[in-house]
Amino acid sequence: MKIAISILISLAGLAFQIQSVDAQGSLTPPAAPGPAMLTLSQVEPRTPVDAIHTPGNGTVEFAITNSGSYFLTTNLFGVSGKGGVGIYTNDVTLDLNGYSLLGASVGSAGVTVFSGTTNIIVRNGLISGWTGLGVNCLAYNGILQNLSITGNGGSGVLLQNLCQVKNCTSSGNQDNGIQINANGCLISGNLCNQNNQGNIIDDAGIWVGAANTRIENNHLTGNTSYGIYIDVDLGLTNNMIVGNSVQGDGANDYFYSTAQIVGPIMTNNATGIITNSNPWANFQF
Amino acid sequence: MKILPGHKLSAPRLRPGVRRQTERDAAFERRMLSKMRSHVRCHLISESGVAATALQELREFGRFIAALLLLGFAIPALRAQGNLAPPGPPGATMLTLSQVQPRIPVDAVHTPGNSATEFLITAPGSYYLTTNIIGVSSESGIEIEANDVTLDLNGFSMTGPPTANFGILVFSGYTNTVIRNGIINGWNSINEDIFSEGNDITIEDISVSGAGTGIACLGVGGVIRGCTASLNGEYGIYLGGPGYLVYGNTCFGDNAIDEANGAAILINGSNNRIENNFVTGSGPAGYGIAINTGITNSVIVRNSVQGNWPNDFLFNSQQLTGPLITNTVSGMITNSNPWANFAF
Repeated sequence: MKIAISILISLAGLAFQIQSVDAQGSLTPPAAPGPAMLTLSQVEPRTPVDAIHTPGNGTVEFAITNSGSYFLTTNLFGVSGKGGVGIYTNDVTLDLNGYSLLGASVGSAGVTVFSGTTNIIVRNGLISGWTGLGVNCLAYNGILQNLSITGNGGSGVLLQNLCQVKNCTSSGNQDNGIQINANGCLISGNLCNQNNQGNIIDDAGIWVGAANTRIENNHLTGNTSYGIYIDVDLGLTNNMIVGNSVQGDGANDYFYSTAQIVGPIMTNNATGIITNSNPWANFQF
Repeated sequence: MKILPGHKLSAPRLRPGVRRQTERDAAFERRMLSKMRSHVRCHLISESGVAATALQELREFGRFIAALLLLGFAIPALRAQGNLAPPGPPGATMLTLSQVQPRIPVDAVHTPGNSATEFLITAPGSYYLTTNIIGVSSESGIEIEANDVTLDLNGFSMTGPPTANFGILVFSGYTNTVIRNGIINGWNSINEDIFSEGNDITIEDISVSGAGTGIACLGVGGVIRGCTASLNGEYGIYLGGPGYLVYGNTCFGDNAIDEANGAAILINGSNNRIENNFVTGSGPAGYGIAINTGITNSVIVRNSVQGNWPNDFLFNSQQLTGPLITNTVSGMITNSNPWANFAF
């Protein structure tokens, strides 16, 4: 009986083995071919920034002159005497796509959004080493977000009317980290380090020459002259400054007049423990 | 057992563990062997030896078969050149274009419109723009008549002439709509860039401008987050239903026609939360953030409004609102309430 069982088990094993060596697999097609109807321009409908799609002019290397959604496909390097990307029209989104606009110490400004434009978004990349401004945003309703703007010969960012700078880094620029020249801007959640490398009097990590801005939750360290500076000589009012932290400028961490709305300034004390519970407080240390 | 001539016969040896025959059988076997040795010179086999030998041979046969099978299993592993049989039929090794971009483009082929709209979405799915959309007179840009639709403007813009209807229209009765990432402007001076009667809508990272109202939501529930509403004629954001979160938006220059009842954000539904919005420069005859009479239980906290003083905020005691902090003589905020709103 044991012998019979042994033989049966062995034969069963042999049968399994035979099944597993079906070499060619199923010859039946899995299904009818499906439609592959997308064109390449549907797969990536945005417009690349390059010499073919956005040819430059005497001022900028690449010029955007039509509304639309644009993106970088590689790092771009500056050329002597020209800006990097110029935006000349309304309703433009420029996605740096994680790439860099590198001025190579010869290009004038990284991105220039020309005056008279509106609804401009620039985001998601690095802008570095331009001889002038990192981003010169003269638009009405310009939004800069998730940018790293470093080592430029002018300010990192210059803003005009009703613009927003959110979640950006502006560091190591010769002039201001973020410079606001017109009213109603929102500056939120940015990092400004080691700006005003040129040690220009009254320049700052965030320099405000306008009214009605909201400057909130920014962190600034090691900026020469001032941390956050409101140009009181211009008679500016109603700038709201809350939740910021500034280090490295001592008594000049903040400079503002009583015509603004400012959270109480908390300084480092003997214990190092924050005792002020005001949620709008600014920090200096 | 085969006995050759001259071979010395002996009693069969039993392997250890095999029980010996009975003594009687053994004695019989010895007698038989003795008889065989003395009288027989031919091939003889003991009767008991036949059984033992047959059993032994059967066992050996079984072991042989088992060994063969084991060897069969072992052979594939011993093949030096590897298995020559293909592992299976050839499989797909590349992505199709529709796998690279699985979403559905908004265009005349995939989302054809009708007499009321340029493009019509009638099935759940994820849709995206592949170009700017320019409005047509008396039509909307995109209408959504389905549940569970995500519409990504993909950074493109939708621009309507003043004679068009809505930029995007979400019909009543539909739920779970997401609209994001683009620019919508100028669809109609008395209509809206985005008008929704659907429920559970999310609108994020959209710039709306130059319409009668930037965003108007009349259904139940939704989120409006990270948007910019600017230069709209009457309202930047209008809530006509309950259950909305309006968070982190920027509104400037709304109520451009400067109506007394206009506002950057107008709430005409209960149980909404309006938080951390930045409002500036709305028409001075109207309001920054306002709640209509009869509306209850809206939470209004951490907003800042400039330019409509003393009407930066309009609300009644039936809401939950953070205290108003206004500019003081010193300019320093002394109110430590974390839910405060700012008016200046």
